[in-house]
Amino acid sequence: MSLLEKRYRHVLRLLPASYRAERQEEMVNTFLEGAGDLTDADNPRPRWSEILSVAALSVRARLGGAGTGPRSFAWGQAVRLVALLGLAFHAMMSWMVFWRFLARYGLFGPSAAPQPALPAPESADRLWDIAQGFTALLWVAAFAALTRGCPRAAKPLALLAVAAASSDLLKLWSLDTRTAVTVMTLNGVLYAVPVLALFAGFHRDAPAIRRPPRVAVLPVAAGVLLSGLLTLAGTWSQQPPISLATWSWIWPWLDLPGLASLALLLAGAASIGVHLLVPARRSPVPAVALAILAVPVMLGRLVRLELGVADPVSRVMTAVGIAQIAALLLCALTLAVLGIRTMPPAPSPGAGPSSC
Amino acid sequence: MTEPAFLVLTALADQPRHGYGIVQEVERLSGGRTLLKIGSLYGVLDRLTGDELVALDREEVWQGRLRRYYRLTESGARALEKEAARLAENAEHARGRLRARYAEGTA
Repeated sequence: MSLLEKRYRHVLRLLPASYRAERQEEMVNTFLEGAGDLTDADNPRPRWSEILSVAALSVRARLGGAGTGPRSFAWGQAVRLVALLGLAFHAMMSWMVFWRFLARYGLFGPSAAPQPALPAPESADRLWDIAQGFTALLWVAAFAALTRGCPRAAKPLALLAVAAASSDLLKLWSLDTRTAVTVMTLNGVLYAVPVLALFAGFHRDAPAIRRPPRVAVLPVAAGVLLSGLLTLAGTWSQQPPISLATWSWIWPWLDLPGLASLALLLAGAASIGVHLLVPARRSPVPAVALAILAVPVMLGRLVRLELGVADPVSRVMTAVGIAQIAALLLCALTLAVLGIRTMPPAPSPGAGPSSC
Repeated sequence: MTEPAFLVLTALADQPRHGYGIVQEVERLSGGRTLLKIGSLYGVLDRLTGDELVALDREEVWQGRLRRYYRLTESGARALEKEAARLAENAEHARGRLRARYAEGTA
């Protein structure tokens, strides 16, 4: 076996075993025929473009679209659901950011929490502040594009949304490095998983699903509702007599990882309930998707945990945070077990890609 | 239908071909513009065989290695004909508009 063949076979190990069993020999032959008369003395290597094309094929084979094997399709659907739910959550949260932006400029509703002063009118800072306020809508646009069957538009919009959300970090870095690192890690874990799922799951073989327009605006409706509830909660929390002891149990559920934990725990409980009570509706897709989403949410909460605090209020908030992580871990493990158990069996190595 | 899929179907229209044969023919048909990587080729072949537009014709051993030949199916030929007609119609519209543009002297 030549050095090039050995190296190309190594690259093909990116592909699922069942796919390799069917295609490997044929692919090696096709590749070597195109490689010409290279000898080991030339120290030949597969080109990066070839390696990337095999990596992309591997993603499509593992996260299959319609027409692929049932297991590959189920994994694909789970990853696509991760992207959909993740984008929906960020669209809802960014709508709340947009709401606060409008409230700051006195355009819409009162603001519960004290807001930073507006930059001077007609200044560059003012323009930047307004532009940043509108970038919150990028997540809403990305989710809408995805639900309306345009994942190719959703991908750059999601990347822009991540870039826009990170644009303040440089300024924060110069002021408070510790907080900047915390925010950067939190953004990283919460944004990376749905965006990666969007790019991996919605490949060119993924089924194109165009959902009704009302689905596209669901996060906006949820964001409006949640904004209202949080405004009310903010007002109540400031009404005398202020009971810090009570609110210290509630506040950890109202920040970004807290709301994500709450949403995941509710959705996870519903998924487990359906699995146990309605066997006919058992599906690995929601269980696996929620288990995957629990990982960044747990990490997000972990990043925000303040250990070693002395005052009773902070200690209660830390305890609630730890309880959230424990509950998420238990929920994720249960969902993962249920999801893996209901996953269609892997094709036997001789079966090959279902499309052949 | 994507351009690579269209070109692969076209490459198989006259005779069954194996993997590298398809790569070469697609390159020739596209005037060198489309150079199919192996991962892309097999992605396209998976999709086309899944849609039953292409089928396995035969297997041969060449210099000790496996060669699989693929052929265009009847539904593949119909799909290719339909797509070719659609593209030709689009091209004809473009040519007609350009002729009109030049005739009016607005070039």
